[in-house]
Amino acid sequence: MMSFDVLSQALVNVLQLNVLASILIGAGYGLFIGALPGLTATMATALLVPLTFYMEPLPAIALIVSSTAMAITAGDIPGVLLRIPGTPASAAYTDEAYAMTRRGRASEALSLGFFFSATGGLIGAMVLLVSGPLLARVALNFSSFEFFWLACLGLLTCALVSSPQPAKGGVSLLLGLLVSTVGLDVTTGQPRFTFGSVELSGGVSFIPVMIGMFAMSEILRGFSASAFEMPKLPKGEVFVPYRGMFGLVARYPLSLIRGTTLGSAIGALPGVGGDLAAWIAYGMSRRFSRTPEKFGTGHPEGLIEATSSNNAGLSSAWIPALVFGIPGDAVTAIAVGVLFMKGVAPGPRLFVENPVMPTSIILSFFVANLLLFPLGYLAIKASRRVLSVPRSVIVPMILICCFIGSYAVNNSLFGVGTMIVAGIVGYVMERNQFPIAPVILGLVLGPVLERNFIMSMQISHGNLLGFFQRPVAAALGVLVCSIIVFSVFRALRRKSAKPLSDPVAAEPASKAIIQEGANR
Amino acid sequence: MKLSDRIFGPGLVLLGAGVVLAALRIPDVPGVRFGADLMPAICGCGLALFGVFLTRAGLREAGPLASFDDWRVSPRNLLAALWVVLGLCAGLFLFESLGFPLFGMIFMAGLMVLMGARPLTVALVAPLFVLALHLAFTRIMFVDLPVGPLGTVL
Repeated sequence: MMSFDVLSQALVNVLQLNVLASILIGAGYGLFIGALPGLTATMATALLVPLTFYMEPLPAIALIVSSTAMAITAGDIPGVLLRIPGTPASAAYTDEAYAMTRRGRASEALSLGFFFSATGGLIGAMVLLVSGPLLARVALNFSSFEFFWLACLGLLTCALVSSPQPAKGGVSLLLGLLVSTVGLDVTTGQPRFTFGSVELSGGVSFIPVMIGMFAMSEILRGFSASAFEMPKLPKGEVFVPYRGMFGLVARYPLSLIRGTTLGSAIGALPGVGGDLAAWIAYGMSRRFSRTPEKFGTGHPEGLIEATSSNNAGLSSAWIPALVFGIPGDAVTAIAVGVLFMKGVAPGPRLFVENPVMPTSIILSFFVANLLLFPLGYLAIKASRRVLSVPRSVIVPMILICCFIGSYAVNNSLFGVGTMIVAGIVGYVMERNQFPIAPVILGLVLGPVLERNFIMSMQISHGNLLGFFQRPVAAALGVLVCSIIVFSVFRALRRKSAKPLSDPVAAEPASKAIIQEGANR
Repeated sequence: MKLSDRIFGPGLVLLGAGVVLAALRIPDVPGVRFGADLMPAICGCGLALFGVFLTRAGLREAGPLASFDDWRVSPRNLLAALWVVLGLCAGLFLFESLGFPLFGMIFMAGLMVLMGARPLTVALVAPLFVLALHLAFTRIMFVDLPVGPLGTVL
């Protein structure tokens, strides 16, 4: 367990003015980006990274934490008012929320989103606070074999969850890993794929790649799909935030408990992240509800379960990122990259050598989620105004930020060039069902995977059975191999069952949306 | 822009083969058994393998090799997208000479016009936002941004 000294020192750190200001600014920014359809939480995080260069590690991570939590929560606003999910996670329950709006209960739907998201986030943060140090103690005994398998598990799961076509997820993952090998080799220091370029010798920075793939490609996709044209907002209802929320807690306590438990469990799986939790939670709520016939008609039960699982998953996705150094999704991959840039290496040793740092990061979740209550109040009041900001103003602003953010990485146009290439590649990939998240995860985790792989190969003298000789490594290895065998078997069975002319069109709609979600 | 797996598949096979060949050309370090070539070679093999899978899947697909239907919806959006890509590419060559303020204003104003913003909004928002960003990056974050011809004013 973590000591009182560590906890109090971490609390003092989080309550510093610069950290609180970061949390507040991040939340305001996240609210704005999350509320605008087409602009996602990952994109918001990606655009923040250049700013974090000039910040201390804790305020930098607090900025990311609060902007993500708020962006994910604010994603409910366009879902409720326009039936356009602001973020992929909110797509799971957009129809239900919009049905409430049609019945004149938009205020309740918005309040419910913010209230239960914040509650779920707080419970998820508690899970992170309790389980983090315990898992870190276990992970201290891990060798390169265990870390290799954990990295494999994270990458593999992300690739499989992100895409209905495992081959395309695999391609994305390998592209990310390949790009991570550009520059000097992590073990021998030999140059690889540098083509004599000084810039490439330093490797491809994940920041411009990420800005290009998530922000620029998203904007190009918006142009091609005419996604920037907005329907009219509903009029008439007066918004009274949070009215009747405690009554809902009393009426549906099981939904809240089930949602947060599920969200925490799913979010903690390496490579899965929290987006999927909302989908599963909504489905589960309907399955266990006493009144399943009310679902789809503006019934709050499913919303409570899905929104609370959403933010609980967001918090617990930091468990693999902080404890093992293996990010669970694109946002935590970005945050892990930022921590590395700041000279803070996430992993079990961090909990031993500098326990105040991870504890401070976890406490910033509490502050960010607590802030969701008052900021949510303002957001609900201002939601109509946020949605009426013209796209013709926001999109050019974002692109200028992309340009300057990529330039500021090394004060060089090489970053801008990387961003443009990544943006075009990201757009082509996304339009053709190649998920983007595994590319970023591969790029960030590539050096970790390679270092542990080469070290393990050297220890075992090239004998692959050596990867299965330690008990935990063997269990993880068997799990990874089982996932691969199961995926291949399922893909073969699907192909033999129904030869398709268009494999993408044959996927269920929900799965296609999940893939969209995983791309963010 | 949709491309068939009949394009992606062979493309990935070629890319994978190219990566493996390039990895094989990385010189060995004496005494190091598992060197810098191992990881890229594995990635190359994987890409080629998935390329074969996608080629097989593509051969069972019907439909064109490439489709640009999504861009036919709105010519204005197509123009805006071209402005984004070509404008950013032009920025690579003109950024140092024009400086960030001038380049940023031209790029932003052009895109706003193409996206249908009102002239007054363009005239106000583009210069103000770019100048605010310029000041934030140069004065607060100490990023050395080129100022170009507007250097005398700023």
